[in-house]
Amino acid sequence: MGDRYSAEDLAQEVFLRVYSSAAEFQPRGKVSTWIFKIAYNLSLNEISRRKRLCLFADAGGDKEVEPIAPNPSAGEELRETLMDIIRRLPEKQKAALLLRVNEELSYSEIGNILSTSVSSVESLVFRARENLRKMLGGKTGGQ
Amino acid sequence: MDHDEVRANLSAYRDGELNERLREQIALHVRACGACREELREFDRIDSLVRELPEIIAPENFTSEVIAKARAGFAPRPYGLSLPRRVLERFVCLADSVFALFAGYEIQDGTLDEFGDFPPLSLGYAYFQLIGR
Repeated sequence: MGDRYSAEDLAQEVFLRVYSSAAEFQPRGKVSTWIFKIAYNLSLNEISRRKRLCLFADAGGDKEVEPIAPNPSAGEELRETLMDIIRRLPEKQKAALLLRVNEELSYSEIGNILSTSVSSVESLVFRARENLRKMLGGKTGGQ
Repeated sequence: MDHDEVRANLSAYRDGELNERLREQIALHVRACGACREELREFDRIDSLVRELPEIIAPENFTSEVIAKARAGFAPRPYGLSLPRRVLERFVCLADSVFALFAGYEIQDGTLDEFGDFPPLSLGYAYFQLIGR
């Protein structure tokens, strides 16, 4: 969401919505997947609200990712560069990558959360990794 | 399966999301192709870096606040905004953008919620008064 306070507000909103919609939960999938789906939808709503709000302002979002000049000479700098790059990824790529890498969800579960097909998830994760690889310029600490 | 086809499937291969036949074909290619092996290693390193990013820990009172709000019947905001609110927000934002053009200051973000310091009697100030912030 761009800042900690907005993220906390949104997280509260997620759990309030989980509480108020608990009766609607279909026990076919995991509870965590359902919660991620609510969180993703609320995040998208907030992002599109921000985009809608200002015609002249730069609200970020799903635009072409432009290369930045990474300076990953130290671990901390590399982390900051990586976070900056991840922030600039298109929303769906970012969500697909983080759900795969951090939450270790399957492509099918991610597809359910993002309301998209398994093949789209495959493409989103691949493009996210490719973007990170290109933008980090191969300086991920392996050379 | 040629090199480009394999490359396009490397990410899914790494995630164990391919069927057995495709997985074997790619494994065979990777054993013989240094570029694909390097790309796989690069994906490994990127994933490790992503996992190592610091997590944001919720504040201590997060759970109690949510429970208190839920108990108090605090309803989550409806998805989207009502039409009058949308019109009002757009109008204020447009007016602010026009003002910014003349006054020569730069709007930093698309979120009016983050502007809390409008001068009294400005449209932005009136807006925040109206929505009770």
